[in-house]
Amino acid sequence: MKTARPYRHYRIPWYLTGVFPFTLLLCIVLLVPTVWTLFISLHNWRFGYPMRFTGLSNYRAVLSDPWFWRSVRITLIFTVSTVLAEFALGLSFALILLQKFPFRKLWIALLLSPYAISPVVAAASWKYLLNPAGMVNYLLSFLKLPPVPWLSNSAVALISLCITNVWLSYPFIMLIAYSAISSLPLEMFEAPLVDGASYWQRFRYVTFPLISPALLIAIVFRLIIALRTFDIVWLMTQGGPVRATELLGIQLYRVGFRYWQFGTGSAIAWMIFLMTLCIAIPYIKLTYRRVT
Amino acid sequence: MRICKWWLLAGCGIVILSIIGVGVASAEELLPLRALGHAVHQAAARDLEPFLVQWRTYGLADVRELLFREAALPYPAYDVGYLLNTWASPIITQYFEPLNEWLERAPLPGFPADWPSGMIEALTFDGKIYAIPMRAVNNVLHYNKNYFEQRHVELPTTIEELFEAAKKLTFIREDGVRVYGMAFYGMPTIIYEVLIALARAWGPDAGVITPDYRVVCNKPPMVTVLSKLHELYTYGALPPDVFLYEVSDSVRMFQMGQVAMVFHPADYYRRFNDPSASQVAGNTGLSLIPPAADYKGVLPGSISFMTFWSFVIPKNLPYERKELAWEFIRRLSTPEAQLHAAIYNANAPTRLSVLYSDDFKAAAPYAEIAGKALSIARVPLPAFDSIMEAVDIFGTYAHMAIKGEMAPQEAMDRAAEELRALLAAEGLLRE
Repeated sequence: MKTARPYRHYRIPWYLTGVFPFTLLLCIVLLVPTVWTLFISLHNWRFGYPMRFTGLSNYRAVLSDPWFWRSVRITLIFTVSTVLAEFALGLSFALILLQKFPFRKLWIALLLSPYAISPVVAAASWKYLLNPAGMVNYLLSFLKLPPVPWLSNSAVALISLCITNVWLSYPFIMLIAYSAISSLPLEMFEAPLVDGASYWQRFRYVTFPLISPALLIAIVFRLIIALRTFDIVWLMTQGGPVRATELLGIQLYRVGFRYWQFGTGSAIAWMIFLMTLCIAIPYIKLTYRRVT
Repeated sequence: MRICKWWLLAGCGIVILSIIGVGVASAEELLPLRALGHAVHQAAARDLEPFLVQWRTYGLADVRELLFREAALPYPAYDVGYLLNTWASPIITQYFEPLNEWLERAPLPGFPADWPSGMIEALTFDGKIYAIPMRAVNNVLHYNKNYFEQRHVELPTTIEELFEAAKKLTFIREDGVRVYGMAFYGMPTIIYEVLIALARAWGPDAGVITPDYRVVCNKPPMVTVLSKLHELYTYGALPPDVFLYEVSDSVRMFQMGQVAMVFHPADYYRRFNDPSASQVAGNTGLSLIPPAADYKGVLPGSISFMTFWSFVIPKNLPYERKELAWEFIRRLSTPEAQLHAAIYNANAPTRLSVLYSDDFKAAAPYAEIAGKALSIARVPLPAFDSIMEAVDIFGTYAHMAIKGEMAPQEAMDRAAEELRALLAAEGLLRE
């Protein structure tokens, strides 16, 4: 029977010495800002003025601000719709790419290429494409359709941003799905084939259940990242027109870095963090339950 | 090999401290002068720099953030910064060096008499001046002469005629390109400048917030401007995506001949008539934004807004760096330097002697209009801590009014309510 070693005899294996400094740095870079932001959120702090402890008043102010709830609604619509679209598109492309057809490898490279483009470049390009005199409206004119105010109409602007975000991010889910399906053993499909199952039945009863853990990881990651979207929205619309595309990230930036209200901005940041936890915790619990 | 954890921790600590030490040591190696501003400032200082300067240039929002954030550091990362007047609230007294002693020790020739008194007052708190104005910006009307001739439209002499002209100047060219009658930089964060310039056709008290902190955005001048712009937007005389336009977009549209009238500083005349950049070079004109019909003959033009940039020195700099910074400011504030910057890099000087000099008039075709506009211009908004929030509030409701999502009067009433709350929270509100 093994007994616990006395504390003074504990030794760290030598190969961990290389990892420790970077782990320490990571902890400092992640933990210190998180704790400091929490600290600031409990204070009234404006640039140029001393900090004043106010408890939860910043959170009360944020939660009673109708613009905040409007941003929450817009953020949730944006997040859910883009992730659903990415899931549908990514999975579909993965299934198609697993078939044999001419120039398959070229198609894989083309379909993966949006993931290699920086969000800034993508936002600038899409902004020009969606300009009233841009390529998209030009193509619509060939179909005898009227030009669409892609970024200047409050209702359409959010759809345009969703399209841009889906275009940028569907390769992530496509990659995960492609890898997951590729790694399935062929023996899993022999019995259904022998039994005469159709493609859809094989996908629904064999493939999908087996790849669902991988897809779940991909979806959770995408939900967390989409919830915090800032770059493409700021570059394309800056939260407009008329704050119709003001996601929580945009509001945080506006309050914290434009209005210099660090306390309120930190409170918004923690609200985003808590929303992210609401997505991450159920996933972590599910994964923990499976492992144990 | 097994390593005791205490030795391990000690080793990591030494490594980290060494890295920090190297960083701090290398920070001591400085170039002669570090300047923080916009690209136009670097351009204006070209050929005038008395010694080697390390420039950092950014967009407006970033300049503002870095200017104040770095000034708050125990050792600021710049020696000379460029401050826009709308940022000059009392907060600047905490971060920037009062310049009275420097002016006594090494005076600026002609200061303060050769500068507009309004500029000096805006930068003075408790009898101390914190910045030296160096570049003035004010909007005038730039128009495409060809389109006015083609469409048989007279140059508007009143603001009402200007709005009507915008409709007549909206058409489709022979090559199929649509021309819009008017455009402006319509992002919610900057649209206030153009709207204030138009509203002040009805006098200097029109706008959003007066210099004595009265909220006037829901008064007839601004409501009328928004109503007219809504009419133009519905008619199609404004580009449909004008609400997303930055300054560069408005400039580009005019240079490409897709807009007949825009509102920009007088010195933009150069870039509109630069054949290498503009398709309308040689065919543009400029004039003051006309006054309202009721003020024709009373006002020479709309009391357009004026913003100006000023040199500032961070308070926390060591004495030697402040000395260097002050020398830089002195050299770039001479009449010769301001004239050079104005002629070669297209900005309006802040020295009155330079603005009205024959040399400037001879070298800059827009000098006369720039001088007239500056002589009647005023700052768009008084400086206060929540100015950015006020700008966003007004911009959002202005968008709603122009797009027709809310009636102009209702939009401005709501904006006024929120602006009053902002000013009241700072103890500034006057009714």
